[in-house]
Amino acid sequence: MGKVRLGLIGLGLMGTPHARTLIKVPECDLVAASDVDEKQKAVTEELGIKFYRRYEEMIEKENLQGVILAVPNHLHVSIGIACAQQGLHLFVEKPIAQSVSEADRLIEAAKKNKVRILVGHQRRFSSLVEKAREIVAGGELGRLVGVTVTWALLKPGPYFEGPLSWRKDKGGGPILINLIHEIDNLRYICGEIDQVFALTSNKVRNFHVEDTASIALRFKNGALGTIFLSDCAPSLTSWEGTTGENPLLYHDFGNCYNFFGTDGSLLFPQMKRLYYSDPAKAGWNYPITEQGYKMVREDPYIKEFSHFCRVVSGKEESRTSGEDGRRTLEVTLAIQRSGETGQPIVL
Amino acid sequence: MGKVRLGLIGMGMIGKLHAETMSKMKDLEFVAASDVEAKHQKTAEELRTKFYQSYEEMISKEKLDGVVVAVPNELHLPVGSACAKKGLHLLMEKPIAADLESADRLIQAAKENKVHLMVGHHRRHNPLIEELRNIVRGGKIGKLVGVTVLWALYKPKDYFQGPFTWRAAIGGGPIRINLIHEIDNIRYICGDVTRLYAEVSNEARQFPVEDTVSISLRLAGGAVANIFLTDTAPGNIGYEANTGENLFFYHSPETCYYYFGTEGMITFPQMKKFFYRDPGKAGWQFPLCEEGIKIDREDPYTRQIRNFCGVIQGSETPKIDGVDARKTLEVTLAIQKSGETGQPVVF
Ligand SMILES: NC(=O)c1ccc[n+]([C@@H]2O[C@H](COP(=O)([O-])OP(=O)(O)OC[C@H]3O[C@@H](n4cnc5c(N)ncnc54)[C@H](O)[C@@H]3O)[C@@H](O)[C@H]2O)c1
Ligand SMILES: NC(=O)c1ccc[n+]([C@@H]2O[C@H](COP(=O)([O-])OP(=O)(O)OC[C@H]3O[C@@H](n4cnc5c(N)ncnc54)[C@H](O)[C@@H]3O)[C@@H](O)[C@H]2O)c1
Repeated sequence: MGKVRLGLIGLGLMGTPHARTLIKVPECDLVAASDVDEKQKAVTEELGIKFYRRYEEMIEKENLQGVILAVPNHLHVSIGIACAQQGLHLFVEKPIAQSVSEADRLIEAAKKNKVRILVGHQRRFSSLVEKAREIVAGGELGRLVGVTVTWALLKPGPYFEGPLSWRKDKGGGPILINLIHEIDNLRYICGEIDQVFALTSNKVRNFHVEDTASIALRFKNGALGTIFLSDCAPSLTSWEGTTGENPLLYHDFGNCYNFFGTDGSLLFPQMKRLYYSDPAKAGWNYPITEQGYKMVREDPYIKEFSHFCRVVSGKEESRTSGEDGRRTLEVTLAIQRSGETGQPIVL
Repeated sequence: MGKVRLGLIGMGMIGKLHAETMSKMKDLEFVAASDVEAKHQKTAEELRTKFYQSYEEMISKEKLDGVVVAVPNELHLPVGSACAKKGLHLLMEKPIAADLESADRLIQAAKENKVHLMVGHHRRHNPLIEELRNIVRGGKIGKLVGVTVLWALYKPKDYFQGPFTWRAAIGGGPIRINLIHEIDNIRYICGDVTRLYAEVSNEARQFPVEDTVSISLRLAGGAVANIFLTDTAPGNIGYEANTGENLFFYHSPETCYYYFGTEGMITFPQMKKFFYRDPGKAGWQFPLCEEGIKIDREDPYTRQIRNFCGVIQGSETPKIDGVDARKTLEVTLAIQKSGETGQPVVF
């Protein structure tokens, strides 16, 4: 079977690097890309693919099998439905939609037109996350009792300026933009989250949107979680600051997650597992054994797009289905609502 | 005034440590010690101090200035009040008393009898904690944004067996015994707690008492804090293990607290400060500068007794008095309550 014929919609901050990645993926045949902004044509010329200003024209003419949607959030559902109606499988950048009911509409349309959805939570393709999931879900830590997440960093001044000033308003902050990745990671590694509570604050930047949050979680399997989130704290204790998976950001070698189970704990992304090797000498007064894992680092985007091709050709189940992307959104929105109401939310 | 004359009541786990500490200090006279268990006479002899099985006899026969009270929590009120009536200054082990009403009565007894009441939250006497307080309160990391506290140490099986089965019952768990120290540290370093929410679980050990807690706190200045605590996961992160303050606990060089400010982050107990030196290069894409803070270590238990002597002599104020310790107990009990009711608690 040949390569999978794909089109890309949206050549902005995310779409442009996606185009560059897609042409490197052996299973992909990136035929064309579209953006309402004529300026983005340049990159398609450089990559030797066709350019369309109107995506409608592209999906009609190009005999595609799937599309990658990297348009602004409010267009995910309308463009997604239009593509689904043409029988195209969908790669939708995160978040799947802006609300749970909108996500439902997209999921429904995909079902009706028998197309599959992969939501762009690329961290699920990080080899670190895959390994952590294998360790936690595989029971190497025993029964999971809890997980802690720290995401503390300083977004620089220009991040909020000029055309980007929407980031100062509700919905433009670290809960909807950044935390959603942490939530998806936790759900993927630890299981379903069914209760959330958040204390949020905007006291540092004094924007409408939150700059800091402290979150308490409960998982369906009984484990508890805490998340500390801040985008106004000079720190490297975050996914970006420790994993190095975002090449544009600085990173060092700390840990951003800790997983705790009855048989051991895992410090992430240092990938150190701690446990007592002798059950007769298990306890806070005994030396603890440390085990490392040898990690091979691969580009998660390449893995994600290869996977998408296999989803399109029916060889694999979507790793992040529409329902999955919807649930990650639902939990994230619940955290935001809890921050507003001051009350815990049961999902 | 001559040397301060001190007595000790209760020679169990922590009482013995106080006995050893006092016997080594030259600027005080460790006059006598008491325990209902006759077997402790041996320790008294070794430390060259008089022994009484009845503390009532000790406080009426010996001319003392103050007593260190290290009996079980339910006895703090009766023993403390009896000593106050004799005009003896009090260093009560933590918690101040078993419940808030008893705490109020003990505070009242001290007031009526014009004696000082100090409480044994010894960590306040650790130079590392003092320095952290100075850094935070002195604005050396700017405005406080948030704090994360992690305590994940594994209590061995025998911790809950034999005479210690009460530790598996309600009230004998990590909230009252361990978490209270974390709460006192946060209060001492940052100020008061204004709101909190806790998820509490006993699912791992299946004892009546909790084994895992996840907490979100809001602090008076607007910062938020997270605490995650578990005593059932093999791990090496927690104040006792990381500070090396008490070498009964296996020492691991991990970080148990992160203090985040607008101008920098402190890791504890490493006492390293991370910050951006150049405001033009502040943000997630830039490297952070690292600076060590030098602190002379000193045994907190010795400093605590020294503070007590100073208080008795009128040259010092207590690092933590009855009212302050009552507040720490109140917040700690509120965590338990929030876990039971599933509701936030507002102070
Ligand atoms: N997975 C991640 O880590 C990650 C990171 C950043 C952004 N994203 C997501 O990617 C999506 C795009 O974000 P971005 O930062 O690239 O935004 P952007 O504004 O930089 O790019 C969006 C592009 O879509 C184009 N566009 C708008 N309407 C169009 C239409 N009808 N047809 C064709 N093109 C159209 C715009 O001209 C623009 O070039 C968002 O959903 C965002 O949440 C994901
Ligand atoms: N600051 C800390 O880190 C710390 C650590 C451990 C304990 N504590 C506190 O210290 C207190 C004692 O705890 P512990 O772990 O040492 O308990 P423990 O049971 O080991 O010791 C208590 C001792 O008091 C004695 N005692 C009981 N009734 C007495 C009486 N009427 N007169 C004289 N002696 C009496 C008991 O025989 C026993 O030896 C508790 O309040 C506890 O919360 C504080």
